[in-house]
Amino acid sequence: MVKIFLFARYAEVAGARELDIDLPASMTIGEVWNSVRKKFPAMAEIRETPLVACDRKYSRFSHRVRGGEEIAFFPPVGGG
Amino acid sequence: MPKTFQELMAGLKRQVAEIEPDQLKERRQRDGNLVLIDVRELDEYKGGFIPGAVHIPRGFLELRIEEAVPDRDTPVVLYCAGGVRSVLAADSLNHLGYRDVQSLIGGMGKWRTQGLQVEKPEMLSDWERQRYARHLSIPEVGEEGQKKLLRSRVILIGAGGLGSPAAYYLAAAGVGTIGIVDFDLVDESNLQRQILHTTERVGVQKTESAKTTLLALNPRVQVRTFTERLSSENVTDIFKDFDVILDGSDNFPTRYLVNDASVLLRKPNVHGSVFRFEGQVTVFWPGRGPCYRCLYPEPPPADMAPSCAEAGVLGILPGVIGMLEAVETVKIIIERGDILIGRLIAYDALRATFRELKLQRDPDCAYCGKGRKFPGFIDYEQFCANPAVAAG
Repeated sequence: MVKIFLFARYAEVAGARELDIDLPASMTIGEVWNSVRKKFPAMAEIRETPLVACDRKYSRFSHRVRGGEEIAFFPPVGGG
Repeated sequence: MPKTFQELMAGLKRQVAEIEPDQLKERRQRDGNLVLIDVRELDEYKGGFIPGAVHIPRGFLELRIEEAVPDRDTPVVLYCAGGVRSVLAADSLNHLGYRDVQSLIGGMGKWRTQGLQVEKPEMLSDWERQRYARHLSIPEVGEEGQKKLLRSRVILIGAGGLGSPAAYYLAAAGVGTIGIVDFDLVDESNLQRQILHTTERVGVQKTESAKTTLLALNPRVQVRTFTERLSSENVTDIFKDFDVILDGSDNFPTRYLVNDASVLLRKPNVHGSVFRFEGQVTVFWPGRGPCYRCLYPEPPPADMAPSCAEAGVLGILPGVIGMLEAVETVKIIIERGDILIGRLIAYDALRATFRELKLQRDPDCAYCGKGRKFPGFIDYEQFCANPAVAAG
């Protein structure tokens, strides 16, 4: 299992800020992102690559997680 | 125990190492680590000092020496007017564990009579001394830091939600030149958060309204207004006269443009953005950490990128984020503290949480990747309207 945090627009679109995703086997962060998007159909419209933090450190889609990690997805925020 | 001052001095002269002016000159040329400290009072210092010397009056020496010279193996030379107070000061540093301390024989007097170089200090005026008194009493700012602030030039992108509090505090702090780029007019719906503007100035150019407020707060600040839309054509010309860029823009095309210009000009870009109850702040400093494109190589599709007008924002939130941007700007100027480079702070006002994440440079970043040539400015409107096409 990994703990997911969604921020700003992603949280609004999904209607959730925190959720757990089951991890049957080791997955890449890209695969985790896809399963989050599947869980919330409204997120299908998100096409850009989010900023990802795995355990509060910048991470890429290719990075593998094994369970127990905390993954945060930050959308680009433009407002000022 | 010595009974008289003369006996005290005679004793100290045996313990404290001394150096002649010409030897000092020669030693400084060969030893770049050497710290030269002027221990005279302010009035004496104002009359001229040895170039490169740090001014710490004798009465503050023990209090401030660890800040000025953290490593006790650093060679230190002290001087005063005639070479007496500096011997007393050197003795004190020896007691504090400094291992290589010398006193300048004959002090400033002998230095001058030998025709060696003297510099006149750039001093704060009495007005500045009073105005910035609370800065002067913080060691991290002090007189040196305040002089840096007074000489500094900050360009703000946008006089809106983020730019307002940032500009207000930077003007209060004594930043010498504040530039503001904004083409928009003050709208009534801005006033819930854009605190530079007032009800009676609805319909006025934001740059002019901002200038009026900032000059009322601090008439000595130079405010330069650029009442135009920031574009690929004017960005380098506008940015070239400024040291720090503070991004308070409200749209993605401008954010990518500001980023690219900051990479090209290698100037720090203090970045903040807000959405409803959430805000982000970080510092992009080319060569020292990631740039905006390392984090977000492509913008969100235009229909997915709501502005404050569409999404709404808690009025105070850009206040918090804009002020964090102002704090980082001041730290960059006074060269103190741990600047928010390679870290991003995400603030959630509704849940009252700050979350920090460590960032990384993308070695393959199209703009700031190592060894990359600047690819040039692009059509930012098109890039953000249809990212996939423009990025491809």
